[in-house]
Amino acid sequence: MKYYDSDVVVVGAGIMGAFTALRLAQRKRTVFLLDKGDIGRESTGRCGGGVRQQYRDPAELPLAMKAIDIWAGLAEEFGEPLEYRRHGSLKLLHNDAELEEAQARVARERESALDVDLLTPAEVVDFAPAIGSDTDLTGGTLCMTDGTANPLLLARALGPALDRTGVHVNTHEPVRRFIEADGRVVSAITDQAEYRAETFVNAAGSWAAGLCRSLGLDLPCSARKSQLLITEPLSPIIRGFISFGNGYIRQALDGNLHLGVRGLPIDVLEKSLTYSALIDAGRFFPKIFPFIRNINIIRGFTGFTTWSPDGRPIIDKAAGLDGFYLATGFCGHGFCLGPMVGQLLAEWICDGSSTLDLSQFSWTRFNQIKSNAKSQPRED
Amino acid sequence: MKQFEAVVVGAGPAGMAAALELSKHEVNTAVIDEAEAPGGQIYRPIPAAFKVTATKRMTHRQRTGRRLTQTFLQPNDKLTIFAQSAVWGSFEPHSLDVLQNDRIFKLAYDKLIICEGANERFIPFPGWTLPGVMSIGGIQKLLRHQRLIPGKQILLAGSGPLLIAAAAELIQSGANMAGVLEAAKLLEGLPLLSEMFRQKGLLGESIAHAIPLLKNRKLFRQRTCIVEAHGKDRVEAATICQLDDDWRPVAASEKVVKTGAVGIGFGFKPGARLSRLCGCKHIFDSKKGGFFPVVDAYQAADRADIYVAGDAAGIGGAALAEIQGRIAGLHAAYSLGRISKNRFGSLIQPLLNSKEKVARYSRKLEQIYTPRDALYQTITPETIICRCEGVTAGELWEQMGKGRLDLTSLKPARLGMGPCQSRGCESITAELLRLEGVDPHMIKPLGLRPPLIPMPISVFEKNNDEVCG
Amino acid sequence: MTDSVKAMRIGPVSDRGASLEIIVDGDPIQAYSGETVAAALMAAGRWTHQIHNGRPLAAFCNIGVCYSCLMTINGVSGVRACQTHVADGLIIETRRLAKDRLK
Repeated sequence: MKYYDSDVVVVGAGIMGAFTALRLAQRKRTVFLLDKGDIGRESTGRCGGGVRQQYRDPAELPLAMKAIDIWAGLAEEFGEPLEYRRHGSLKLLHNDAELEEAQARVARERESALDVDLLTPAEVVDFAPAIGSDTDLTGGTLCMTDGTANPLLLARALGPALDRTGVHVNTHEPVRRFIEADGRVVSAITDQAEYRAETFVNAAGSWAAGLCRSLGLDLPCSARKSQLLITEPLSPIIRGFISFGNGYIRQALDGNLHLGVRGLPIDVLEKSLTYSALIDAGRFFPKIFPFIRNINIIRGFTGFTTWSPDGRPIIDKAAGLDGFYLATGFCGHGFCLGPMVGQLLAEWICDGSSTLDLSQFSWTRFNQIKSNAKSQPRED
Repeated sequence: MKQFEAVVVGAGPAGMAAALELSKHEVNTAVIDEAEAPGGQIYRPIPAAFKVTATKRMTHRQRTGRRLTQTFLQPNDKLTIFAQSAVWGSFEPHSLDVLQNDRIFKLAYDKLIICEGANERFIPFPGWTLPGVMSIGGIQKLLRHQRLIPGKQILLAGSGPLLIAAAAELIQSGANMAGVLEAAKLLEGLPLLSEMFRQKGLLGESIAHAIPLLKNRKLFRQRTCIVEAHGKDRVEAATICQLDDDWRPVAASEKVVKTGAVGIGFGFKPGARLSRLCGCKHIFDSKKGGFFPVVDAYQAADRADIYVAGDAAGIGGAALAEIQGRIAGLHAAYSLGRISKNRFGSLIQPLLNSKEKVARYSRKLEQIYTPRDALYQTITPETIICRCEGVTAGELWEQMGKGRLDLTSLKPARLGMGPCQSRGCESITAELLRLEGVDPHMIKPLGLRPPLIPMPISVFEKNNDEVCG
Repeated sequence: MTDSVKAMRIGPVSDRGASLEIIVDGDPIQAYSGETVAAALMAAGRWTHQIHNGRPLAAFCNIGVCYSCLMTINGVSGVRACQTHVADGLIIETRRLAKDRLK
C-alpha cells in the first residue's frame, strides 16, 4: 500500500473542498484533494447556479455577503469565464403569511446592510415582465447584488486553478474510510493508497455522512435529489434568479432557461431524472410564466443536495477528535458560499480561528455523540 | 399503462418485418412510429393529399417495400399501430413513454425491438450551415416526397450509393446539376458487383442509377469534394477540390463553382438514441458511422429483452433491415414461448443465412466509402461543428488542447446543448477526438437522459393528472 | 426578406393537394395541401427559417433530426418546419434568437 504524507487532506473536490484546498495551498500547506469522481461533477456542477445572499438562514448572511466579493474576482483569478452576473435575485410571495414573513426578513437583512427591497405585485411584474400580470402574488423581495453563474464553467475552471496552486489532486479515487489513533484522525484510505496528514477536511457532500461513520461520528444529514430541466435557447426573457414556492428559474447566458423543480427526499443516491420532475414543470411554471407553455424542454439532469436537520450548514471541527473538519449540509444553497467557506476553513486550520464567527454552524448543536451509524443514504 | 408482449419502435422495413413476424406467432405487438404512415425513410409514401399520377415502372425494391407496407397495414388483431407517436423517455423498467400529438402515455413491454433507423453522416467545411446546403438524403426526400427540386444548379458531393441514386433521380426529374462529386474512385466500387448479384434487384437498380449519370458524364467527378460553401444568407457558390488517393484535398486544384443548392453526405450512421437511453452497450467505430449498439446474431442487445434491428444496428440498407427485423421478431417470439426450440432452429437458419449473404454488401460499402481521415482536413478552426449552438472546431480543439479529451468534458464548450440534443455534433466531435489520438475504444457517447426529443411544457401542463412516478 | 432563388415544384399542379394560403412573416404565400412548411417556403424563395445569433439556418436534413429548420408556428416557438404540414391560414414566423455570448 502506497503512503502519502501532507499537511492537509481534503476529501471531496466540489466547491467547498476545492476552495479549501486552494486557499490552504496558497498559504503554503501541502494539500491532497481526493474525489471519487471528477472535480466539481456532483452537486457543484449540477446546481441551479444562484449566487444569492437574500432569504438565507440569518447566520449565513455575513458569509454570503463576503462570498460575493470573492465571486466578483473569480473569473479573473481563474482566467476562465464563469458567466457570473449580478442581475438580481427575486423571491415571489404567494400569500399574506409569506408577505408578513418577508417583511420581517427584509427588515432584518437591511440591518445587515443588504440591498434587498420588498416589491409590490406590480413592481414584481415590472422587474420580470415574463410573469403573468394576473398571477396571484402578494409581492416579492429583490436583491440586485445577487445573481447567477455557470456551474459547469466553475467546475471546469477549478482544475487548472488547483494545478497552478500546487494542490495534489487525485480524482477517481474514492476515500473508503478514515483511521484514527490516539484521539486524532491520522489517515484517509483509498483503494490505492493511505493518505496521512495533520488535518483532514470532509467536504464530501452527500457522501460525507458515510465517511463520518468510519470514525463512529454521527452526521445527521439527509440527501435530496434536485432536478433541473433545460429549455431550448431563447432570446433574453428572464432576468436574474427567480424563485417561487415550487421551483426556480434562471436564464443562462446562452439563452437556455434552467427550471429547478422541487427536490425529492431519497434513500438511494441515483441520478435518474424522474417523470414527476417533468409533470412538476408543467404543473407549476406556466401558472406564473405563461409564455413557457410553448417552450420545449430539451434535457434534464439531477444532482444531490445535503440537508441538515435545521436547514443551516455544518462547518466545524469534530469535537473529541483532533484534526478533523467538516463542511457540508448546505441544503442546496452552498454555491454562493463556497469560496468564502474555503477561505474560513483555511484560516481556521492555519491560524486556529477564522475571520468570521462559525459557531452557529457547529456540529455539536445536534448533540453529536459517537454512535453506531443510523441508516444513511446509500450510493448506487 | 397499456401492456403489450412486444413493442416495436419504428415502422421502416426492419420494424414492419419484426412486427409481422411477431404477430404471425400470435404475439400481442404494438408498433410506435413518428410518421403518419409506415415505411420509414426509404419507403415513405407521398403525402395523402398529393394525387399520384402514373409513375415509371417500380423498381424491385419499391415493389418489395409496397408489398411489405400493404401487408403491415392489413387488419391484424395482434398488431396495434401508434402512428404520429414518438418515444420520449423510459422512466420505468420495461416501459416506454410516448408522445402522440399533445398526449403522453406509457407502454409496457415484455420485449422491445428498436428499429429507429439511421441518420446521414457529414464532414463539415466552412459554410456548410448556410441555407441551401442540405443533406443528400434530405434533397432526395424533398424530391420524392414533396416533388420539389431545391433550386437551379444543384451540386452534390459525398460518397456512396446514395450520392449516385439521388443524382440520377434529380437528373431524371429535370434538375439542373452543377456537379456530382464522389470522393471515392468509380473503379473502387467494382468489388460491389459480385455482391449485387446476390441481392435481387440491386444490380438493376444500380444500372438504373448509373445510366443518367453516364449520359451526363461531364457532371460527374471522382476523387473530388467540397471544401467551402460561399454566400451571405444562402449558398451561392462552392469551392470544390480534387483529392489524392488518401482523400487529402489537393489545394492547388481548388476551383469555384456557382450553385444554388448543395447536397452533402457520406453514407449513414445508426440512430443510436433509444438504444442508448435504454442502456444498451455501444461501441464507436468510424466505419459504422459512429456509435452503434452491440447486438448478437439474433439482434439481441446486452440489455435483457431488448433487440435492435435494421440500420439502427449498423447500416445495411432495406433488404438487410427486413431480414434483421424478422430475426429479432422470431427470436422474441421464441423467448416468449410461442415456438419450440426445434421449430425456432429451423425457422431461424434460413434467415441467418440470408443475413450473412446480404451483409457482405454493406461490409464492402464500409470498406470503400467510409471517409478516410485526410478528408477531415476540410474542417478548419472556423468551421461550425455544432449547428445548433455555433460551436466551432477551433473552440473544441482549444478545449482538447487543455486535456479535455472526452465528449462529456467538452459540454461546457456548449457541445450538444442545443435543440438537436447532440444528434448533429456528437459523432463528428467523436471523430475529431479520434483524430487527436484518442483510442476509439475509449470514446464514450454522451449520457442520454429523457426527454429524447424536445418536449413542450404545455404537454406536461395538459397531462399532469397522470402522476405515476 | 425574399430570396430570388426558388425551389422548383415539378410535375403538374394537379398532382398536388388543394391550393391554400399560409402567412409567413406577415406575407401571404401560396402552398399546397400535403406540403411541409419547409418545402412551401423553399418554393416561395424563402430560405431562412431561423436566425440564430445572426447566423441564418434553414432545413438541412428534412427528416426532423437536425433542428435547423425551427420556426415559430402559430405562436409556438421551436417547431420543425420540415415536419409540419401547411394548413390554410397557418401563421409562420422566422425564428429569431439573439443572445449575448460571453467567450
